[in-house]
Amino acid sequence: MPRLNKKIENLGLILLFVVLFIFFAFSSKHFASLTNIMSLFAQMVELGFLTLGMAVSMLSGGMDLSIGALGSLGTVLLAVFIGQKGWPLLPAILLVFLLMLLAGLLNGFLVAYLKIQSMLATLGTQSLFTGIGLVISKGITVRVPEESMRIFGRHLVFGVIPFQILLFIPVVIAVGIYISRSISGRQIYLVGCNEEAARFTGINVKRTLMKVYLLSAAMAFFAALVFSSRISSGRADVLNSKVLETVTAAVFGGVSTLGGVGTIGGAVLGVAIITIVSNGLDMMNVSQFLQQVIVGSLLLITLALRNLKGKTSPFVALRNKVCRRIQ
Amino acid sequence: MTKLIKYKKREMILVLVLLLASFIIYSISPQFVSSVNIINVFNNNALLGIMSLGMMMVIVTGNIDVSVGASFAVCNMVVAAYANNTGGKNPFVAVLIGMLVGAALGAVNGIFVTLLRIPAIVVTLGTMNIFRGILYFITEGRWIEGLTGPFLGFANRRVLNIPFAVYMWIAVIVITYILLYRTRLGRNVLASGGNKEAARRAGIEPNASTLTAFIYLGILTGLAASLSASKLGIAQPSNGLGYEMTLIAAAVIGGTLFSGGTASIFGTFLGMLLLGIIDNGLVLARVPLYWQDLVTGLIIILAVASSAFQSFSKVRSRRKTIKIEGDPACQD
Amino acid sequence: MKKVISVILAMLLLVMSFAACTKPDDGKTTTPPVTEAPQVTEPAGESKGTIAVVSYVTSAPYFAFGKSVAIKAGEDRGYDVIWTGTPEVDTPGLIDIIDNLIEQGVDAICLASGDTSSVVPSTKKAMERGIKVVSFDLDIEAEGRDAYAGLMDLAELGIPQVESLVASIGEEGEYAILTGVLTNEFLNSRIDYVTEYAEEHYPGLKLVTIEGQNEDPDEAYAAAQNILTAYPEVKAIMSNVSTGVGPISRAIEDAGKIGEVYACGQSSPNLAKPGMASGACVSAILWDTAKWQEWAVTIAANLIEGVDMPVGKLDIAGFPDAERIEGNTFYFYETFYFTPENINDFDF
Repeated sequence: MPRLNKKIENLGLILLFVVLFIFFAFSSKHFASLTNIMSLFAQMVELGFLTLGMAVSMLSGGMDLSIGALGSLGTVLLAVFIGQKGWPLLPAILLVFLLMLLAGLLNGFLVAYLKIQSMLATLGTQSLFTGIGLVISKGITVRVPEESMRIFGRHLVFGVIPFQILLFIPVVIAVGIYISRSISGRQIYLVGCNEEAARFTGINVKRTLMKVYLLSAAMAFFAALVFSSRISSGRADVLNSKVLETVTAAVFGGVSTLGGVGTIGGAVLGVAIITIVSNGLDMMNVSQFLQQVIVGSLLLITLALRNLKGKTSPFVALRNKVCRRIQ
Repeated sequence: MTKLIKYKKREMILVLVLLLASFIIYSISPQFVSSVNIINVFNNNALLGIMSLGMMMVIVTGNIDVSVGASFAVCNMVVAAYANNTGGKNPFVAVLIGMLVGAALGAVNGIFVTLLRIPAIVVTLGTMNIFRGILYFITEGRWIEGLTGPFLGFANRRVLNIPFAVYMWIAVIVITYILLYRTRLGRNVLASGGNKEAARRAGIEPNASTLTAFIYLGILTGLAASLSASKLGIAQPSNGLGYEMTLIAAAVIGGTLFSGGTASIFGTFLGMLLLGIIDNGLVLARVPLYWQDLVTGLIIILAVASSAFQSFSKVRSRRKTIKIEGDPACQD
Repeated sequence: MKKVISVILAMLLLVMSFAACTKPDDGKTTTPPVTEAPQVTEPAGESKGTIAVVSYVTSAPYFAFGKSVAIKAGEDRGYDVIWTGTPEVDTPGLIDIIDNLIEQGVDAICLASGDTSSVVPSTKKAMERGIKVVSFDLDIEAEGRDAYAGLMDLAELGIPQVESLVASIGEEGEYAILTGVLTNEFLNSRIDYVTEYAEEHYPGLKLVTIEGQNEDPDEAYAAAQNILTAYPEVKAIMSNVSTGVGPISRAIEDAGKIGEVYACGQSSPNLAKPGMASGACVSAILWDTAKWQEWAVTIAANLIEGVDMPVGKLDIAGFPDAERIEGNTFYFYETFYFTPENINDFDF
């Protein structure tokens, strides 16, 4: 039953996306052009990857605030290895991937083994990762020769489809299947619902949390890969501004901040809606300041309406239902 | 009673970390312990310190407020606009206005959280964008400067060589203590943070406590924003960016749990002081600019990790059970 | 389902209500479809096209002051101006905005970016679509723009800051620099030029430290106090951002060091006034930040219209010293030196 609810909710988000699309298409003649639609989808990708990571950590009952800083550090590392040291693409990317997983391990260690509250631990590592990036880059924007990394963020397949979309979709599907179908993915929900209960049912909570932060670091890596190609450079704080936006997107998509509730599909829909709103309002030349107000109001209205029914908060109700079901 | 010792233990660890950090800074730069510098550290963190107690209160009720930086900017601008129009004649009224505006913004957050039952982080993410966006839209980024009259600098006026802002910080600490431990309201706040259902059954209305906590944070934000305008004679709409994370960090380093129900006023004070000493010490210890973020991150991680070595897991597991059954620990 | 529909309706209502109170879309009806080169704009209606002015922190007074000036400069030349940018530093957001402007088919983009390279792939795309790209504030890499509308050579921009320092404390003594966001390339390169120039011309000056602050007056005040404590011999604190001198002056005043330590460097004149009055600051510099945007719009309009601008002195109304130098770079040379005597003549 809850799964059905979830489906309806996602359907609602899809419907909302379509309505917004039609609205913007009528409001601005530039909006519905093929190039803009492609650029709209391309704009989703970095936020999308980061939101995937954030959503998974939120499902586990935490919140990985360091994900933006980690992504930024990734762009710096990529830029240093490929741009400054002139390494070939593959080993550089592989090394950066491993380094970022290492950073994810640190987050996981702090949260799972030292049992520091996830927001606090990742607030610390956020500062740490930004700091490492600053030390490595000395604060400058490190350049990458444009051609070397072009493929990830600026290549158009068949001259139309941005490559990063083709990178994003399989990752979404993989993460989605892992989270919703695999046993170890379902365990994340259970840990997010109730850690103690999860422990009693024999789940290795520590290992599960480690997986969560590794996954989150991997998503930060993908975001870094795409974005450093899109700007053909790297900077130590370039993605930091996205952190709260990822929370907004995930919540929009129905991921609960209390943990244990939400779907990957929903989170991606949340990203899609935030991106289409910002793209569409740009096309209508709405002031950026008003855009902030609109995004904030949208968030509140959506959640208020979502919560209208039921005596106890549907968030809690749904959470309890799902949790009971998994248990 | 064991619980009491446990929280004291956490604070003890924080004190040790503080002393250690201070000693390291002192050994590099003896000026660190000069009275001028110590007063500066307190003075420069008084505003955030004041707000951090409000943030702690909100976290105690099991909520969080990320819109606080935006509220700070709004209050800052309103107070400065008032002081500017009246020639700064009446600082008392200006501060009062700041606190009223802050209370109103806090009430907005609180009402959304309680009436619509949306998680606080989501509400405040939304209102953060709304407050900030409206402020930018109205002011178009312009600042207010050239404040004059008695309003200018009253926050820095010194009695016994200690600035007024520091007295306010101390006053707020005392008020918060009384509010939390000596009034019915405070006990309700503590109780409702632990378990809403249990609190409700005990006849405590958790919504009222939540609303109170948000308004309290709002008032303190307004106070801090007025002090800031007075201290510097300028207000700009982009003020307060990122304050929310500093405040949350201060409260949580101090031992307040995100799940609510636990409060540590002394811990929050220590947490704020630790962050302030890091900022001050990085300059005094002549840490190169680009290393400062890294060192800050390391110290925060070490500080929280060291206090994690205590029997933290028990606190944590208790928190988890609270959510299902009821909270035996929230009765103090 | 009813719930879902009500959500959608509410959102729609909201979006439309906001859309209604902003500028209607018909301002751009004269812009050509995206695929065509903008040069072939039909001059239908009174507007000759659209120039976008984009900056990376629109909430900062430094840029905000230019909004009305830039819009007016565009209107005077017959162009609509879209004045936009990210409210706070947000590079992904800035790039999305540029991409969206490209899709709108604007005729020119005047761009202030926080660094020289991250926007280049996007601006190159704009240039491929026939959009004129003019960088201002910080120049971006030459391949990513048609022209740089500058004030003067970046290196020379550091000179007045050092001169303001020398005017405050003479040719000898310790000084500290208080800069802004650490990753801002404009600020960083200015620091490089400041130190280079000072070392070369005034060997008696000694830079003791560089500290940062996130353009937050409270932070700047605290940082200035920390510097005063950590470096008791310091004689001046130079602000590298236009919002620094105010808080630094307050810190000097509160530390009772007026006459011993001076605030100097860049400052908006209004923020420097209290310091000038108290004696904490005797010299500061800045340029007309609003006029800089007017300059960028003017160059952009000239590029669109194909106005011939040969290397050398230029005859552009309102910019008496305008000059083009090699490399598509245009300078208008206008720096203000503020002193306690003239500070009250300025108001921005």
